[in-house]
Amino acid sequence: MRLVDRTDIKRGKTFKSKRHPHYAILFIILLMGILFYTFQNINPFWIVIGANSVLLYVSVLFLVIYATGDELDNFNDTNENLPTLSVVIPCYNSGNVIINSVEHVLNSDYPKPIEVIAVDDGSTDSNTKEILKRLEHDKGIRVIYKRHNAGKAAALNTGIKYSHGEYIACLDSDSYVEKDAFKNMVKTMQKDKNYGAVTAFIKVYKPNSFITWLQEIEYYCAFGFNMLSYARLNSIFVTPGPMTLFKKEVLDEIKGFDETNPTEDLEICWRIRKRGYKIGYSKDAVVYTEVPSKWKPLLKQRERWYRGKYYNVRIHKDMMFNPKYNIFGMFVLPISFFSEISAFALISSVSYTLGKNIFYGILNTLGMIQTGLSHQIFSCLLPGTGPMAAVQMSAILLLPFAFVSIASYRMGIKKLKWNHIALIPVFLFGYGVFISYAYVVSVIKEFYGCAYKW
Amino acid sequence: MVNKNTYLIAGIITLTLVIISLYVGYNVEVNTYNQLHDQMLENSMEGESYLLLTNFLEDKEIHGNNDNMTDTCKILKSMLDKQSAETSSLYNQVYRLETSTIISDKKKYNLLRKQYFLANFRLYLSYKSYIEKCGANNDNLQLILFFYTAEEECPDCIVQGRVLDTLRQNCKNVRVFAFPTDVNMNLLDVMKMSYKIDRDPTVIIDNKDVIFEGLTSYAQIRRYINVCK
Repeated sequence: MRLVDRTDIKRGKTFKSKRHPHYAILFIILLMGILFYTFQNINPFWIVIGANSVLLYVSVLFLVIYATGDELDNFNDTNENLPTLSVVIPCYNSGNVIINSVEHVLNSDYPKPIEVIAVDDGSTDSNTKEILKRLEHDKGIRVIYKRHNAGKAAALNTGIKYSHGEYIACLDSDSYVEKDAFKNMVKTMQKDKNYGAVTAFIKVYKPNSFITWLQEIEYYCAFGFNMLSYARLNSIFVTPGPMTLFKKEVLDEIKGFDETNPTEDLEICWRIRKRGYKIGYSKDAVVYTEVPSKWKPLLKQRERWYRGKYYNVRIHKDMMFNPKYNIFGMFVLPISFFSEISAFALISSVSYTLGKNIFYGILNTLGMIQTGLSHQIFSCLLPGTGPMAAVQMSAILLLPFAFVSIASYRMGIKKLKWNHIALIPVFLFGYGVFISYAYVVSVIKEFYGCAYKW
Repeated sequence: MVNKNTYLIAGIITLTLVIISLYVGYNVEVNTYNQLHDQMLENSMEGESYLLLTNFLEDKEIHGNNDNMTDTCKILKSMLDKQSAETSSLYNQVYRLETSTIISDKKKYNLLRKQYFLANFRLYLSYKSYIEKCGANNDNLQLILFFYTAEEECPDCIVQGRVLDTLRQNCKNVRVFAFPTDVNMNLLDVMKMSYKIDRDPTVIIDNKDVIFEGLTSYAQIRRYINVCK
């Protein structure tokens, strides 16, 4: 029985789902009981280290692959036999950014004419419609107007239906391709006839605040370093929404995107893989994308991403531990859930320790306990904190993650500066806690059956 | 494609990192324990030297050679106060390190705790001997013994500890010596027997031979403190 029902939506962006509060409550009670018993008997430090040990191995593995792997982009640098290309850009009230996106596409150095199709997904903003009309008239792009908002996946499918290119690039309206991105991706696709899709190196567009700088490192890690390692393992996990290149014949074969799926970019990647196709990666094809500049929208975005993973694992559970899918099914997909286990371990350890500190801090403030003599009886204000051994051990065990961050930076920015290095500890410790929190919230909301929101 | 040896190499590197971190962590804990152990020894030596000094002064008195009692008492008082501060800090360190130990055996901290209780008792005897010798000497020192349960839940003990903390803060001439009644130690067993302690918490105001069994309020205890400075 599915905890979240997929309901076909005629309009609106929200996926409605049945609420199952009793599942969530049972889950939380059971989890709290297990965690409390565990923390009473095992130092929280070991729990975090234990959960992170698998991620530690993955980081070391990726570092070894990065250091020893072959270059992926070995192809002839000729413009012969390049296929026709269509670019589909879904748009919903994004008039202020789509101009930039279209300009970058039209400035591309792809040697053949590019068919650009923008799909207006029922925008309610008149400014967007005016801008699309102007683009249609001035730039010669094709615009398809949908009467009602049916979601990004439906908009993409509409665009694909009307496209004529042999290859189709699905591009977000707030993403901007570099001049040679299409050429690099097409040539990667042509390198192996079994490729069904090729992903690009997604970078953050003009990071100018603390939260966007952190996401910048994250994107370098996820879409640069990790994606390269996944590609070398033939186990790319997702065809990112900002920009992915597909073969039209493959899209037709699998009947396009799943319009009822909250993370259609993840789902289509797994479905392509199930059909026996491979997913390629072109690290020289750079695409910049806008990212949330505030914590609340960022949290909402991450909740959707992580919940999408759980949602899609239920649909494609036959891939888990299936040797038919090689490394992806046997290693990459199962290991991806260790992030959640690690997140739970971290958040619960921090909550347990902080919770006790705050609780007794409040009692102290109210005068119900005091330090000093009562400290000799129970020292609750700082339970288990500040163990020097744990600090030293953590420093050693976090080294691989630090190296991954540096290697990721090197992929994204050729020359590292001191301000980049200084941000890495903040990324590892501070941002890691935020992401762990997002994982925990996602799991609980998925159990609860909350509606997905963009 | 990735060579199969890559997975093995990554596993070996990961294991090496974990072993190194365990080794470093273990050494950090051992060094910390050794430092604390040395501090305990030092504290013990200071306690011993105080007692020897008092014996020496007694001997001088008997032979009528001690003309300067006031100065002597000042020196003794400052030695005691310094020891008192060090002893209190030692227990906090023992407790904090014991709870934060993650690799080493926690049982060795039991020995340190027992050493602390010995040091605490020695301090109590030193204060008693100081009061006898220097006749409270306008310090109006008041000694209080506090017996509590450490191993089991005792909310009254916690509250009583808070009450005595407040008393110590308000009355700087009060010294409180806390001893657990459920730790396996001959010294503590003898103290329990001699004061006939059968309930926790118990507070004893030393020179007044006043014993409070069970939770006792600040006002009740304060009534027996003649001078509060």
